[in-house]
Amino acid sequence: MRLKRGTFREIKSDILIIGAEAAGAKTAIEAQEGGADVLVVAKGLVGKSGNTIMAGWGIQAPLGHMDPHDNPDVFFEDVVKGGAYLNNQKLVKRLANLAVTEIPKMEKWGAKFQKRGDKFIQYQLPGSSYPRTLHPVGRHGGLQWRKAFKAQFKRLGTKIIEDVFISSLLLSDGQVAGAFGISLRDGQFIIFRSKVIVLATGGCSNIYRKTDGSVDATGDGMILAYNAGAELMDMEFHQFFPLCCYTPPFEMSLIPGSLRYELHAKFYNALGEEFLERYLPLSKDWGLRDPTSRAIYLENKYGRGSPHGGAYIAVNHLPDNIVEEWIKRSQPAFLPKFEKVGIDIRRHALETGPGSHYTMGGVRVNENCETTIPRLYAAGEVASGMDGAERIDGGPAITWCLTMGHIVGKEACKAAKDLNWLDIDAEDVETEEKRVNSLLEQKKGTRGFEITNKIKDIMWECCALVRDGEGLKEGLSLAEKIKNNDLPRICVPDSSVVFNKGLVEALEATNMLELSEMAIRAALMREETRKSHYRTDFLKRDNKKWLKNIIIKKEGEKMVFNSVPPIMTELKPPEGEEAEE
Amino acid sequence: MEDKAKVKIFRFDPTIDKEPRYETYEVPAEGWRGVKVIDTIRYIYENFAPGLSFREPCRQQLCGACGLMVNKKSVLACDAIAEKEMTIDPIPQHHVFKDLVVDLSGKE
Repeated sequence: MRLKRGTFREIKSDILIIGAEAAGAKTAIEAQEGGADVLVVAKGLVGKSGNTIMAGWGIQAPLGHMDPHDNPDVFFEDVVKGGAYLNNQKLVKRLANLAVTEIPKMEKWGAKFQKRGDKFIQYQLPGSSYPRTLHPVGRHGGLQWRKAFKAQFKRLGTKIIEDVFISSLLLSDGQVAGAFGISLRDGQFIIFRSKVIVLATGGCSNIYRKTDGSVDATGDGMILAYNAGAELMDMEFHQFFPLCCYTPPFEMSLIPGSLRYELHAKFYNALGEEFLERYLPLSKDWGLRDPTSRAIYLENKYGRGSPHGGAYIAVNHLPDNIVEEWIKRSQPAFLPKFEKVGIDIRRHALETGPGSHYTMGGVRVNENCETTIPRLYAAGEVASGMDGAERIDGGPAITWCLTMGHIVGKEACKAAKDLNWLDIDAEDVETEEKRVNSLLEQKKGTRGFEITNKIKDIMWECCALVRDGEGLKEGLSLAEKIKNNDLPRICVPDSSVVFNKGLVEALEATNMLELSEMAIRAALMREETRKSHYRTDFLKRDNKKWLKNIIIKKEGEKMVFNSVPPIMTELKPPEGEEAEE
Repeated sequence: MEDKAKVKIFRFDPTIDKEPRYETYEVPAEGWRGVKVIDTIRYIYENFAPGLSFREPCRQQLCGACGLMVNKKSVLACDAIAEKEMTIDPIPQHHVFKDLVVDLSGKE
């Protein structure tokens, strides 16, 4: 059975936004307020998919409410130094300034934050010079973001279509003219025609075996852009979060960031050593996410890890009443769950370890969030240039979504006013229809999740926290094997056209394989260590050779790599080699 | 043999079925013992029922998309621990798109 041929629905809008969480929602709100006709499509349910809802600890904004020394310039500097100067400084400058006005809007829209009087309570997290992170109230902050966006969607009557998988962008003479979607609810193909398209589809944290991100985070938008001819950048940089619950092993983000950010929890290895001192003599327990994750990874390599491959985190060094007050204040949902298995955080350590968390790389954009293809924009984690080689702690991810959403909403609105709809090539539509239907027709072979499982293992082994040339080469040859042997045999055993999970997973696996190959090849190319990219065979940061962004572009069927100097308008690093902490 | 769970799942594909029906799956220990209901459903999907439709975005009790009924009790599949005898239904009073996937648009 194939999806219904010739029964295309065609839906027209000024602006099509792919992705409905923080970046997509903010874009939609801005564009609608500017008077544009906006349509939002989501792979899943609004407010119930993607990573926004998981990003609950906070949002960064340099408001200076806790320390008047903080301001957008300091924020800019923290972000660029944190990213080891690979950031697009023009873009970061704009975002840092916009954060002052755009983040407090969330409160006006209904999100509740911790406050004292009319001031926001701001926390200082690793990587920030001053207290800067606004912390939402309640059990989980993600629910506050959802509440705020839903209220705005309602006020503006935002048109949203849920459960649509966008499988390719449609071009007209090299410009974006529309998108090809599969409606999962009824199996119909939908041709979206719009004057401009905004990608707000998030990152690809799901390419790694262990992740605390949503299973939706398969990097679809990056591949949509790449297949359309847009450039991707910094695809070798992936962030790992050291606070993933390793046991019980089935709940990665059970351990709240608050243990660290509010209670300054301590890390121990199996010997009871405060091992972070060995790796991070300066920051110790207060290190950034990647170095902390890497230290845990290495302790395991040396046989000093916890039983499930992690380390221990504990707060029992604190006087009882401090912990009790914290429990009373934040009522963490995880407490009863640990108590059920006999773990009391007042006395016991929790087993924690790294999981893939965030994608620094993505679609290359300029300071207006325009991609390298006309009429195509990107906002949020799908884009690159905000974080360089590393995102600092403490919530800039949602800050980028909201500030880039602001820029794109306004830019797209302005652009759409002067543009017309472009014609879509019927042949392109037919090609994509054939690709999807041929997947559906292949009943025997390798299923999407089987390919994904292989990729996740390869990436975890060769391209995660510790990398070297030999391992990367081996990983690459394994990935190529999947590409040559499994991908042509990728199958969808079930024939239903409604919510065919096998079809979605086949499409996602295809995307993730491509993204993994990019990450491995770029990591192999970058012969140095820089923040999240740690090469044991090149342990120094090499500003002479590698103060560069790696750009990836599709030419014909070839994945072509180039390197370019980053956009450095203000801050410049010291010359030569530098040691990494 | 004794360690197998009996899992009865509501199945309905509006494009094919006139009526909803139940399918029963016998799940070995690795697919149900000490894991979440969502893991058991996933196990059944991977091993026995490639056409089974269900939602599983966050797996961390945040998004709420995997809500369903286990033995007539409403749970999040990523929260509830799997049991040896389970009847799994979609949440009631919602339009069923397919199997365990219902129309949750606009719901908190």
